[in-house]
Amino acid sequence: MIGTLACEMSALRLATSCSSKILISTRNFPARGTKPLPRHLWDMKDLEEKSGGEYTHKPLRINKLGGRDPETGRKVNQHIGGGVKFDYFMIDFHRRGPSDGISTYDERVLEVRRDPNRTCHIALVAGIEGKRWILATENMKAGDIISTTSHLSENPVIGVEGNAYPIGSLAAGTLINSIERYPTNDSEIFVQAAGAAATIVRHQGDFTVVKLPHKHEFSLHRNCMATVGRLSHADIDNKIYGSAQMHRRFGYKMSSGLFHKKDGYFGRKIRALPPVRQLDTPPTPPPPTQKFTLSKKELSGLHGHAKVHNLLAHGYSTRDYPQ
Amino acid sequence: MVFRKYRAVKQWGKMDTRIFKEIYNSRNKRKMPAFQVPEAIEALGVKIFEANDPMIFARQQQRNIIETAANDYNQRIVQNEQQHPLFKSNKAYIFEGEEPMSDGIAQASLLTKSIVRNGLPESIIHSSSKIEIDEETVCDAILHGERYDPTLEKLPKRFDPVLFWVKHIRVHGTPVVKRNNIILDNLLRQVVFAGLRTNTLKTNMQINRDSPLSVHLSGGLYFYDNPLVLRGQPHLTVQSSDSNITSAWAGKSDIDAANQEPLPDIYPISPIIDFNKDNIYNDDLLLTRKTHQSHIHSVLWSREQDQKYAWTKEQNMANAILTTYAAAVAEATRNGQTELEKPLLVRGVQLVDGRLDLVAFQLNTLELTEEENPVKNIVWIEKGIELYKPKPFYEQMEQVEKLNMETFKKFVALMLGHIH
Repeated sequence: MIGTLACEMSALRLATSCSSKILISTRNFPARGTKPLPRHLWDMKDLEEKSGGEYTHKPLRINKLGGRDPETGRKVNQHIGGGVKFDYFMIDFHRRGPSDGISTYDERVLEVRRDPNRTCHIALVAGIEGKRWILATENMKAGDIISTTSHLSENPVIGVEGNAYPIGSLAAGTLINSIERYPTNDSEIFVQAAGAAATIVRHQGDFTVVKLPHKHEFSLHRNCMATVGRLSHADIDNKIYGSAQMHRRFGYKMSSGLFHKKDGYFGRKIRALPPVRQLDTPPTPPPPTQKFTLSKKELSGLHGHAKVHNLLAHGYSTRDYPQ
Repeated sequence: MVFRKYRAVKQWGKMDTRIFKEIYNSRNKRKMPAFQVPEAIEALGVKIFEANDPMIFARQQQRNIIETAANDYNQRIVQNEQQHPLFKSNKAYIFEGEEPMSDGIAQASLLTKSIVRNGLPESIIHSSSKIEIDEETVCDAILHGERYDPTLEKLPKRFDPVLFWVKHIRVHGTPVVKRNNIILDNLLRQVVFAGLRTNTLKTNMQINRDSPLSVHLSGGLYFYDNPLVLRGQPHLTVQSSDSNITSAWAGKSDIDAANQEPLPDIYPISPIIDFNKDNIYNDDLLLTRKTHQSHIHSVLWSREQDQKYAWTKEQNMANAILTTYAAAVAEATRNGQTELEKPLLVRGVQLVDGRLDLVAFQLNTLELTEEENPVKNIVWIEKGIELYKPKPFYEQMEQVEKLNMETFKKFVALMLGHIH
């Protein structure tokens, strides 16, 4: 009874088939619609070539992709392209320091400046090992001394703004940014937009649960490094481009002008938050795509003694006359 | 479905094509798990080739040939470099005035082991007060570079930080460095003439233009493993056969007082982060007229500020201190000398954007920064003092604005002043 009812209601769906008696609610069904496209702003391969694969704090002049896929060269994003080329500053997102618990790696902020390539401000810091650019936190200014430690303390630490700690040693409720997804030096990071900050929710064994600005919770390794504080330039939303032309100068193009029906990605949705997502091991890169060209014979899909001359299929045979 | 062996396909319509295409496409989209080389085979350490490659054998050979050739070539280059009789296997820190010093004057003073005194000594300024050079002459000296020079070279692209999207027309004219060099040339000539006129200078100066300067230093706290190479190409290297021009400004008591002062602490910055690191071949002193019986009076040069990333006054001054230090060390170690007999003083003048950086570097010791040796050098500086207000490179200067004769007097005092 329930099964037939549920089958009629599109909002409810029964697992596997209607005959089984397990009811599953699929509230977020159907698919949510079109996702925003990748922006493809800069050619990272070119960046690697120009910097020699190593970090440099010097401004670089890298190629812009203009919304084109770096592999295929095809236009992916209609709304990116053109504009003025700005110098690119490489940002060091992975601040790691000594893990002995006594010493810290200290750096002095030399300069905080805006970066046309990203929303939040960037800070040039110098230490024993050299200079690097990092994302500037809200109150960071030239002359500040910031420190980094990779030591996992037993008692929760109340972090100082601008300092970097492993997330496992920070007290719950601390605002953090530039959070590594995995405790590696090449992982991507969470929270890099202007004015954004994540919160540490709780610690669970080897993992720490972090609440990101969009309120989703992620469970990350406690060794992942993060910088304490909110990111700078929070008032970027109050600033205005002024004109569509100014948008174009920055390389953002207008929408096409053609009417597009709005789909499930638009509008306000009230949904339950997804469960805490645990990031345990970094994802392995997908296998490289292979390209084959099959001959007509191979395309026929016939093997062994079934593999005959392709004309046979069209009525030709070794017979002299049709049967 | 019944197995039909030789049955011809009766009709193949476009719908079938679409269906098959979709099937093939979806099959292609399905990701196969990546092939993992079994651990046992990996442990053997054999080279593994891609079996699906139709050109597997040909490519194997080809790659081997190319790889071996490339390896051979690279090896030969490295060998040739390393077999060069002058090749130094230890990398050296190189200062060429390209990267600004992160911590400015404090860093330069730590590197040169010197105590910084702001402003030239009163007695020096007083000693040259009777030398008269009128404003008209200085104006002409500046206008020679800024207005009358007929060079028509293509000037760099103009960058406007506000209207950043505007492409300005490229203008032709005298490059900024050349303008500044001409101005320095003229100012120096006026100063030398005035010195000879008033008998402040006993002998004429020997001037070399754009000659390279390079000194090699090692030891101390920071350059024990990797030596320091200070390089520069000052536009004017002013020398004289009179040994009195390098006589020190600070006497013994002043030196003793300076020795008691601590060097600046620039923690957490390391003073060596702004140097390049590279292998060098020549660790000899590079100085014009190095074998002559002459002494460096001063070095004068100019810089062009980057349109986007201009150096601060501090960074300009740090550059001036290090270059003057290089000249002082060159003076002390010319003719193969390794020890400093008596303190000597070398002057440095840097012209950036109409502002002068004046340095008088008194070298008391050749030792680099370390804890044991308490002897320190003394450096008098005048940081970024405005001589005149320059126009941007794309505009023509018609007349000198905001000419500051006080600055010029300080320049004269630096060049001609002496302690009696």
